[in-house]
Amino acid sequence: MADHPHPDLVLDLSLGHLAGPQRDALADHLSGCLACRAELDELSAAVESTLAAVPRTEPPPGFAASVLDRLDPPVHAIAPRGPEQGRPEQGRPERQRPRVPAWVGMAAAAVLGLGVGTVGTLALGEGLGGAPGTEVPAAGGGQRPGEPDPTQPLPATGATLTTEDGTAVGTVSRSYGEAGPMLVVEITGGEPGRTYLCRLRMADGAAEDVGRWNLSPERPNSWVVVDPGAEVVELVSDSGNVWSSAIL
Amino acid sequence: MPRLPRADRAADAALLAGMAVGDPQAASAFVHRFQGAVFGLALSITRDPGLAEDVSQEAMVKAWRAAGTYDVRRASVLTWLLTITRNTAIDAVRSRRPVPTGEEFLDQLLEDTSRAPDLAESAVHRLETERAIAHLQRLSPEQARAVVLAVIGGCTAAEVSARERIPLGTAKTRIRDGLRRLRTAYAAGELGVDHG
Repeated sequence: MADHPHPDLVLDLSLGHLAGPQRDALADHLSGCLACRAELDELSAAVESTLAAVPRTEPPPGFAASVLDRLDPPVHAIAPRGPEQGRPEQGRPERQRPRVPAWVGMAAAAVLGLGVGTVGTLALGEGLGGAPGTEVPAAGGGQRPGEPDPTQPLPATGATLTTEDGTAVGTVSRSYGEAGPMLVVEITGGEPGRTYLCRLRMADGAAEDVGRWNLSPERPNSWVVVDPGAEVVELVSDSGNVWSSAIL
Repeated sequence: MPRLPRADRAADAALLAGMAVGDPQAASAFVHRFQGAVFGLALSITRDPGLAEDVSQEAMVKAWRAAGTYDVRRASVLTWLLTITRNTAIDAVRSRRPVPTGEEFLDQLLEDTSRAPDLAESAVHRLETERAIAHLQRLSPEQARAVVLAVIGGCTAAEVSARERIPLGTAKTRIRDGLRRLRTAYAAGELGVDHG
């Protein structure tokens, strides 16, 4: 294609500093010029890759609460229990909900751990190119004064995971994704390095082992598992004893 | 340097998925996990704490709305979210020009991005951040400064030129060549980038 734009314009566009008619004209050119498109893609990819170097700065107190309040509906207000959690409420238009991403099931599968079963294993293999049998758990971020402690369960959300002596060590919450009902297991207690088998017990007494997890020192340890309709979640130690359980 | 497998990205992605479907714990954990990086970038570009907070909130809400467009195979959640934040901040600044020059602030930014951080974040975020800084350190100091000012400081080439007291053409060359070198390094898989 003749008359390529000046390379400076492509650089400005990659940095987000091109606007108005100049941007429109360049966009028209890029739609038909592979060489300029490749240049833009190269520069844009470098810009994106550099962003992680940004120095972290804690926002003002109340930031997280303000964000959560701006979500529609505010996530604070969502009913915490029941398999319908996370679905649009009756009467609320579907378009007000974010589109449920196709990778929800894959993401859930990626944190399922060992022994998850065929569905999770297949999703992991096809979508993520394989993963270790025991997944590194999700970990929480910092806490601001006056904001909810991410290492502690939110009030009235989910069932509490308790040990035999009644110590609360985490929560189990019902959620929902394209893969169907899911359980979000968050562990705030326990000794880092310990490994536990997650066992789901159904109403008919059947049991299903859905993962074997190693506790990270970073808290909370979070996992998402497909929910086959569990009534009880148990975390079983290597010795075979139930370390903690939650009744859903 | 350790590689960043996709499986590690999935833990962040699971939180994003949970937030997208309205899970309160996932949403809270997601915001807390990323708020330092998001606010840090917004502040670096706007140099205005009030505007940075507005930008950061908007970026988080945009992420929630756009969760369905996130592709775990293409980028980490951190990179994806920071790209949203940067675009939002640039738009906000554009409508409010001129922004404070913030010489001292930019000096601090250049200093902070020249050394490995001590992050109270997950291991995967630390690795990703250390990798980005390591790549910057492989550039010439002049190129690295220009890239940091342009990418993380949100400066235009003209602003980089004025701050560095170099001709505009030199500023553009340093930014462009620096970005190309970074891209080449990432594409070559130097420092353990895992695209697979």
